[in-house]
Amino acid sequence: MERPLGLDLRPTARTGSGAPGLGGLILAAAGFVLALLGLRRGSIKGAIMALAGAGLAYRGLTGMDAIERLVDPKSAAQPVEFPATESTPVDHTRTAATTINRDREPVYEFWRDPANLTLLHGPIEGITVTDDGRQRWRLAGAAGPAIELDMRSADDVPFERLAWESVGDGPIPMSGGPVRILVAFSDAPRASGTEVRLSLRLPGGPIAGGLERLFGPALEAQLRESLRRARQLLEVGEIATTEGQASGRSPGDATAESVDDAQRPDGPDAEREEEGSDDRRVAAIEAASL
Amino acid sequence: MKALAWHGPEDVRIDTVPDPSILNPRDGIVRITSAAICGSDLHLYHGFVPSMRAGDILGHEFMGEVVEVGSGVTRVNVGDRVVIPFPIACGRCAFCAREEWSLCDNSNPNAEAVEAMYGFSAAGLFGYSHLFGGYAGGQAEYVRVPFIDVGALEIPPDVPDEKVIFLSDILPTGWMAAENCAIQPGDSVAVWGCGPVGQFAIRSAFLQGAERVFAIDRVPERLVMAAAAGAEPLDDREDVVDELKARTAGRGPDSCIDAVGMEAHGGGLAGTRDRVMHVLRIGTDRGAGLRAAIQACRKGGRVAIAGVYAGYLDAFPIGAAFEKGLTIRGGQTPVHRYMRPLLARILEGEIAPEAIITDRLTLDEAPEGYRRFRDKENGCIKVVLSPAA
Repeated sequence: MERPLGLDLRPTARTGSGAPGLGGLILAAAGFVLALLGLRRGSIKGAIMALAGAGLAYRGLTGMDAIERLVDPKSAAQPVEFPATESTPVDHTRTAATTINRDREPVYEFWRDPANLTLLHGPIEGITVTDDGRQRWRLAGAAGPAIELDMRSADDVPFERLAWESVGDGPIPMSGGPVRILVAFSDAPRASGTEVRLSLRLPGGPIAGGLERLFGPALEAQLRESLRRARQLLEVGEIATTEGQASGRSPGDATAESVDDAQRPDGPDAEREEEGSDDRRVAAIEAASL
Repeated sequence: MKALAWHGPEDVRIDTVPDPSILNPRDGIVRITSAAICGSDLHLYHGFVPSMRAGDILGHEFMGEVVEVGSGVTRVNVGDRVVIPFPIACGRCAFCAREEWSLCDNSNPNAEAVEAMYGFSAAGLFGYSHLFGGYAGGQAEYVRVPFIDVGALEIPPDVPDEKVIFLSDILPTGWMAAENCAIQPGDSVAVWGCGPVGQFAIRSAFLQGAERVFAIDRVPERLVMAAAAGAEPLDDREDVVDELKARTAGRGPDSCIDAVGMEAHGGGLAGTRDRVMHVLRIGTDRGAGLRAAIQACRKGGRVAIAGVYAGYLDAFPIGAAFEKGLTIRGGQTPVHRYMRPLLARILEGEIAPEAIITDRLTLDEAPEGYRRFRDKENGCIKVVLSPAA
């Protein structure tokens, strides 16, 4: 006899319309939490946690096993789709916005310089300009390892907008078109600076789409962090940090190491090193722009 | 250097840690000559503020001598004697431009987490958990001060530390609480909590024109200190709302100040529920002071919140606040806005902030200072540490 769905905690249980049941949602939520914790760690162990979490979330939401799905060509051929409802749009564009207390001109010029974009600690990890003038962007994978893509300028309207899009296929099959990054500038009310809207469009297709759906929230957080850093660099000329500051956790005081510390995303030493080089770049930017 | 570090609830220790260094061009390093323990440090001490990590250096009320500045510092010089405001402000964002320094857009490196909690992130704070930036505090021999040009207030050489250290937080905080009451000549003001902020709120209310100030607490020494400033003391275990009504001939005080915050000792059903939720970490804030302030305030009056709240408060009397048409204001103090005018009042002898100091200790004695302050032992009201001693 069929049990009422609300009591069926099997993750594979579906509602009449095919949506996940309670068990599936619980599993999915647990998966999300695990994945986010893994992403925060940023280590290999973190990556494994993130992948395991993603797998759980996938299973919870779809009722299917991610690995089984990957190896079974029949099921993989079908795109991962939620039942079409208004609450599950299939748009793969993620956006964030901020207002920067500077005029449009310096804000636009800031975003035109590839050296600045790599300071933003968002999806863009690094940009190399190749001999033929093309840009090779290294994009941090919110969903795993970084990917490298050749990007070209897709739009450049002075003081209004800048856009870049990927050329050709990266490591992910992009049946849905190129990766596209757009940043648009407009005047904030009462001459209070510049409104900046940043959007990242990911390609469609079953794998990229599924990953985007799972990691979209983390991606949006990355975009917001990029905008915060851009605002700090443009308004203040430096990025607020505490990395490298003294604490009772520092290597000089080994007795003060704690459980909390062991759970931090990165060791204090690693952070100190990374941020040190970053600060030099920030200082260079400040010298150049202020 | 030596610094007071948090290691868990009711566990603070003097650790030996590396000296701070310049991390950003606009940083400065200050050698601390005086640092105080704030009532809000007790919220950290008790473990009621989330996102603390073992090893965090506490302290947001401090002053000292500038010993190093970064390449981007232009106003402050090595050798200057300065008081530092507890909120960290960049000086160039839209909020700083409006003198809303404690709402600075750019000083909290952990803004993402705060945005998730509060919608938006306010300024980073010294020594006040990682939600507010995780900045090392000033209960130490040295401290790193970001944007030192923006915050540092230079102090004339002949003025002793004790007269000016409270410009870093509690004097401006008490002053702003009274200012938020928009006091008219002849007004009456009731102040819940006669700790250091309450004491300064009482004195500020008189300076701003209040005719009568009612001081509400349960610790005898604090009520005595409030009475010395001219306030009428009330024991908060009595029916304060009725008593205030009686003393104002049925009108109620024109304004009420909550200088208690999230660890209020409340009685009755609401107080018990607060304590249970607090201990179980279901709710973060207890609000007996705020509830009573709203209940006691006259129709059309003003309620100013100076005590710290961090999360959620249950049984908030929104009905009373709405039906009586109250104006409620509060928030972390934009200290920068008040430092210079209040320094002038101190130098003119209008306020003697040092009067509230009861315990003077060395930095090594800081853990003992926390314990005394928590237990209100021997009339302890305000502890000041001298790291140079």
